[in-house]
Amino acid sequence: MDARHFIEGVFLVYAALLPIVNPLGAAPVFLAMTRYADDPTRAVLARKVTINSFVLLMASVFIGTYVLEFFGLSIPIVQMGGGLVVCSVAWDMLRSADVSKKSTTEGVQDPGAVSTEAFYPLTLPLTVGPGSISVAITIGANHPQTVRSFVTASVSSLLGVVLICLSIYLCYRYAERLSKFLGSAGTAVVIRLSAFILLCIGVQIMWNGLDALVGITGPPHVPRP
Amino acid sequence: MLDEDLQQLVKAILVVVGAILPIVNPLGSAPMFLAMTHGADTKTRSTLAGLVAVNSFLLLMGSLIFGNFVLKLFGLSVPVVQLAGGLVLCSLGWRLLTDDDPAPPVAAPEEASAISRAFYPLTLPLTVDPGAISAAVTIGANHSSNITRILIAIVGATIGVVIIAASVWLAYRYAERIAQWLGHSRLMVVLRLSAFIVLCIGVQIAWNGTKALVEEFPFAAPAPAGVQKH
Repeated sequence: MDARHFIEGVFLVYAALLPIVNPLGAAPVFLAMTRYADDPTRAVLARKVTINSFVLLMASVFIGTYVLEFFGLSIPIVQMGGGLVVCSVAWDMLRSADVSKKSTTEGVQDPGAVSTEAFYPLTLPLTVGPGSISVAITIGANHPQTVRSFVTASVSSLLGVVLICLSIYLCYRYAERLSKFLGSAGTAVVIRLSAFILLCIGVQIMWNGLDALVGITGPPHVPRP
Repeated sequence: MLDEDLQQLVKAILVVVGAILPIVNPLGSAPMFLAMTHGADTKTRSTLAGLVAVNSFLLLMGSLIFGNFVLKLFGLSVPVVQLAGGLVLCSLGWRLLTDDDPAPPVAAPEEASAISRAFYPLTLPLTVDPGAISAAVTIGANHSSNITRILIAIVGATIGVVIIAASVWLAYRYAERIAQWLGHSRLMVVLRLSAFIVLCIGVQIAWNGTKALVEEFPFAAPAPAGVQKH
């Protein structure tokens, strides 16, 4: 009985987060942001982004509700603010003449600079965006009654998040092979296209937040954090 | 009689601390204080912490006692203050979030220039945000006709605001220890996250103001109760 719940929980977390984190879709964006970095740097960045994503997702699942309560925020507001940030990153990528003006060309030798870049913008909001954060918070918001089911739920969400991070690592680590396969012209096209898709994702997240706040498609249903 | 007055006093203190302290949230804004004073030395930072605490005290007392008159003088309403203040907070959070290096380490920061920032942006809108000001104005709006009651309310509010300012001072004064403990790259992560939270708080305050404004429109009928969207 517990084993079934456990496996169900792992798949639920994985299935809920994978389409939103979308490592396959984010890989070209990762390439664009690290275009002038060399291979070892990119490997370091892929590892750091994976670790950052893991910590961020776990924190959202386990303490997200309390953090929101502490600052008096609701999930739709996080979606509004976060969607705006995603839009701005995507807009810069789409419109800039040189796609990776903000890449880590300079200072790649400095591990501090790499890890700074690895958190913003590579982890938040590119890999783990506001959409993923709000899904993770919602997953964590279902409090089980008994200690036993709490442990089951915690371990299964831990495993689900580990699986997600493994997918992120694989996609980012081998993004370069993809770009070699596509060639420079092909990569440029893919990057512009994914920048546009990212912009649309940002608008979608903002719209979801706004919809929940004002109830355009129905009465407002602000989920209590 | 004295017993009742004491009760009144304790109640006044608790209302001020309970309503304003969670919004001022010194623990939550300490990382933002660190971010804005990056590169300053310990001495400058402790001076700034003291100045911000004094500024916050004055600003909160002003909002409590004169807030209503000032708003009336300029013909403003509390939601409008929330909307405008939320926008200022959003812009601050946005700048902290999107700066290439959120806090370039300044080699020798001039103490004078650091201290000139003690009011804006460190006190307003970072520490005493528009949410806190509107809470203070609302508390101050409950006037009593009895002179003893008014005196008690003012004394209670003063004690409450002193408690808030003291906790701001403590949180900001010892923020640096946390920064040293975290190290540079982890601190940067905390700063980005708190910048994002400032942005969200700004959106929340602006939204609260907008909602209150829109509800004043006659056509905005309240949503039918009992209907839940799933």
